[in-house]
Amino acid sequence: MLEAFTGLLGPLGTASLHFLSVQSLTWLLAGTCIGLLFGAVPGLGGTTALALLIPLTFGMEQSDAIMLMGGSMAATSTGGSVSAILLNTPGTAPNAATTFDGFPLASQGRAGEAVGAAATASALGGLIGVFTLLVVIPIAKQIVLLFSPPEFFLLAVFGLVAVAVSTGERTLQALIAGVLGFICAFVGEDLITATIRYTYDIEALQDGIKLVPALIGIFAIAQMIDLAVKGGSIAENPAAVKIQRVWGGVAAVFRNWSTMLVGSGIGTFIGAVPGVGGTVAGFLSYSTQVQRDPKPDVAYGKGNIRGVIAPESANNAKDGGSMIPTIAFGIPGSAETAVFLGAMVLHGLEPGPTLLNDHEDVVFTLVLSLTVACVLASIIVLMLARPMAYLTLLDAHVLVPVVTVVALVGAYALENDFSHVVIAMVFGIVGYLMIRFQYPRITFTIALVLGEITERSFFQALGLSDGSYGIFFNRGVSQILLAMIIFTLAVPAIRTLLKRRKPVLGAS
Amino acid sequence: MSEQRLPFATIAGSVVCLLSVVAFFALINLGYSREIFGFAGAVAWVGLLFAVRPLVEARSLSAFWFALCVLGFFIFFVDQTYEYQGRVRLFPLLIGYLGIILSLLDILSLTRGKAGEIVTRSFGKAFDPTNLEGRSALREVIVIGAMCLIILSIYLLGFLLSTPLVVVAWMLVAGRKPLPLTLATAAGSFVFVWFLFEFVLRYELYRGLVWEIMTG
Repeated sequence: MLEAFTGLLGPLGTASLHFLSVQSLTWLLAGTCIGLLFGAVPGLGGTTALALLIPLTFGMEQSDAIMLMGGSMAATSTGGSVSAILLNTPGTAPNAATTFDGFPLASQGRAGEAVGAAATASALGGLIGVFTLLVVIPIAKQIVLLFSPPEFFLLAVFGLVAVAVSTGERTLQALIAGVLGFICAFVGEDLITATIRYTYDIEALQDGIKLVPALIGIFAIAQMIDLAVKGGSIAENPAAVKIQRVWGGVAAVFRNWSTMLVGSGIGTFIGAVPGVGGTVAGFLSYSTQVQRDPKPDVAYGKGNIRGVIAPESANNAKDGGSMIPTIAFGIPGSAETAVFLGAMVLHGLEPGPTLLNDHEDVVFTLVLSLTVACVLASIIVLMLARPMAYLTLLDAHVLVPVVTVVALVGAYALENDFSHVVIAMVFGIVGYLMIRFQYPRITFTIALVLGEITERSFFQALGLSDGSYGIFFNRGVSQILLAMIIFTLAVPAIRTLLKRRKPVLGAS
Repeated sequence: MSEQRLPFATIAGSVVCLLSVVAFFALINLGYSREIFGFAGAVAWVGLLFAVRPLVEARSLSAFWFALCVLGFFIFFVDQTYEYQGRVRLFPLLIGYLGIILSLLDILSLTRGKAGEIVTRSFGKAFDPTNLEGRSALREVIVIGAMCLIILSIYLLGFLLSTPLVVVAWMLVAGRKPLPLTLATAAGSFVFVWFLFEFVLRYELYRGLVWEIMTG
């Protein structure tokens, strides 16, 4: 194990050297500010930010692109905590649990304390998550070596199924969205025989559906259509935008260090499980804190500072955790990491053993950018919480045209091709229909990103077994993965059964 | 609980659907052309529509039409996939048939009765019609139409002219915002797009068809 860690110092040194250049730090700062902004404005979110950032990274060095996007990813939920506390409107879904005690604190005139605690807990939680990622990388390298094509195929299926099951309990629709994503991934040249498929002589589809316009459409444009249809102002409660006694909040985190540690542990663990995501991490951490503290000095929900520390440390720690399956196996755990994975693939970085062995410096650049960005984001929040709160009052009628046009410019910039603008809009409309009819977009995105790798693994596995499907069933790791897939698929039914049994038991 | 009789449309539609499915697979195995078994697939889809439509509750109707469209897309995809041979179509066919099965379950979950309830329970949550509250169909059509107009504007006038134009049009017409705020936002957007993409990142943004015609 020690040897493995020593071996890592080389790439870590390379990453650190690159990291310390003015250019890289500028990209990191830019990513952090964009992440904070998109996190603070409800309705935008981190995934939209990442989708819009991808076009800006063309022409950048791999590590600069990773720093820009890593900075944005790490800062989003810190930004979201500001609107959760000051306006009772979570900027991003993972900040929802923060409103329980954050807004009551703000209503009592203790907004500064709550923001200070949220920013500090976010920074420390983020650091713990990243530290865990750093520790797990050498172990993950060993585990990844146990995987061959059949296991990678089953792992992709497991990732998709796990995300589908955990996405808002609409499992069937999530799986259908995944199938739609795969179908979009089939368009273009077939990897095995180089046959052109499903293009209908449309030139723009010859190389397949490009990820960037598709992601921009499915997230940014779809979100803007949704916002425009719903209309009105994003946050309607501008009350209590008073920021005082910020340092009291910072100190509160250190006084309640065990709350922060437990929250970070929960966040890291939940983050590493594909599909469970930051929202679950936030709520689980909050409810665990409530259970750990049966006789609180201030009731939870009435403005207890620990009710802010627990969810905020968890939802930032999940970023480091979610990177474990993403970079080690290429299985994104959330919509954000799916888009991030898409960006990595665009920059020629294929997650899995190749990335861990041949591009360790890139992995460490990511680790460093996540580390610095979560601290940087917290410092910025501590300094600029008040103006950030006013951002959330932006009217949808101002936001929609501006974001739409910028998103379309981003789609065009990929290859200076107007057809990509049309593709982005088509996917935007599809994405809106998915929002409207409750088909989760995350499985669609994961399948679109993983489609090529999944099909390749499928054929490589069949190639190894001379066409026998037995290869997916008769190997140790494959059997474990199959059992996990079956169990995961059974979870909704088990959950319903348990729910039905509860009232019966209660009655008896 | 008294047993309810199935509507005639359901029985007739089911029979048509089942026969068409059998015909679909038989025609594939007999090596008929894609158009012929594709027709059988389309008839099966129509049969299903008539079979299930009377069983869907009014509040879930819009979800039913959408699910039916998704199923139609999967049938079309499978039919198209048979155009390819061997390995090229193997994985897409697996995915296509999986999509059809999942789609059928999705449609079943929207029906009232025991079967729908079991499917819903096995796969989590039912469709929540309250999600549609505050979304008028007319507004949706207008917004999507406006989005298409943005594309047309970019196609004709290019990005740099369209950016302020779209912002001004949207804020004034849809948002009824004050003119100074609108003009300031439009100017800011234009400067942002130009500065970031043309000046910093050195992209040459699309100038539009009108510009291309004018400059030959």
